[in-house]
Amino acid sequence: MVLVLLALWLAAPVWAEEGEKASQRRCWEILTTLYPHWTTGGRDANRPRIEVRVCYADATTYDGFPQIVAWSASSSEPAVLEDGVGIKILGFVVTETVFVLASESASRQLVYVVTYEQGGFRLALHAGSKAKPTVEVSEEKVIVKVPPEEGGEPVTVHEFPIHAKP
Amino acid sequence: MSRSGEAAARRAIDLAVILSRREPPPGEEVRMIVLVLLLLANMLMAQTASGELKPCEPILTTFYPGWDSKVPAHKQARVEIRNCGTADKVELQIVAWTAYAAEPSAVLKTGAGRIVWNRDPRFQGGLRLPTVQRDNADNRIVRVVMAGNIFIVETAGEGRSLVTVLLFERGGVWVPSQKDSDRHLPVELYDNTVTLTSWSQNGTQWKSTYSTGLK
Repeated sequence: MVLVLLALWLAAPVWAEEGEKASQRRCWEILTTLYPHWTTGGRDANRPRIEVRVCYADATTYDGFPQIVAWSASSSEPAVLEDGVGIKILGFVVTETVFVLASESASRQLVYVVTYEQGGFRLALHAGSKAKPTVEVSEEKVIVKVPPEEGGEPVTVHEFPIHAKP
Repeated sequence: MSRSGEAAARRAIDLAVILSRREPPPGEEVRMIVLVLLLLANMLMAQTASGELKPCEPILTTFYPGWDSKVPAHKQARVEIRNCGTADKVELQIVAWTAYAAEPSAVLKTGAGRIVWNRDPRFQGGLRLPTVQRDNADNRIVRVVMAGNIFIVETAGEGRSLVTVLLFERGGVWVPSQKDSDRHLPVELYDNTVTLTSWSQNGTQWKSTYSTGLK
């Protein structure tokens, strides 16, 4: 009996910690859902998708921060691609396979690029600067130009091809 | 039909009656036809902008221009993409809300009965004429660009795309442009502007630049 109580006492902090981690890892409120190759079928729980969610530090106040999670096909749990995506969402660029989220932290402009390849999502770029990035969307690709940390020149150019279905 | 649409229709009918009673001088028939067509265009434009459509269910996704972490999501300005069809036969609808609004500011169809307006370069002063009316609703979302006050969505169906621009400004939602296209229209986000490039049927390139309102 003593051993059982001792085991429960030792395990309790672990359970609490795991519960806390789980709640931190996946936020409950879904702001925006994005599907690659977004065709008919609407909202389908089994389709690959990314979600921009919001976590609230305090359940009594609306003081949240966004998070990006990704569901691959038939996955039962989403993967957290990025936690704490700034404090304000400034914009989106959504194509068939390239997804850009621009946001703002207290002092920097942030840009995140998620790509969809071979049935899975990948955080392909996470960059920040005091100046805003430039995003160009053409028929074939998305080009993100990120200024240096303090702004100005030279910008770093990132290209992401769009894999459109024929 | 909206009140403004009805008024425009009444104006068109009244004028058509007056014109029908006149004895047109030689060569004036063409002018009359153009006039009646323009009035019909005006009527259709008013009908398109009426926003009297009802939002469909379900909501497929929502975008929040200027999302603020301190305000509940359902009270924020937002654009919803909804499905008016079924899960197997999607008919996309675009619904835009201003912050704290109880009713949507704009409800836009993408399908049957939808009028597409293209700027005709032969006319000065930005005159736009209806050019395409598809039979079926769009069922694909091909591109979305959201930056500050500007929201651009490209939906597709029947092999062509419809590019809709929404502008959140002065407490309302405006639709400055809705273009039919057979290609993806390039978009550039630079500093506090969004530039959309399009082409007319004769190949003339148009660049529309919108301010995002971001600082």
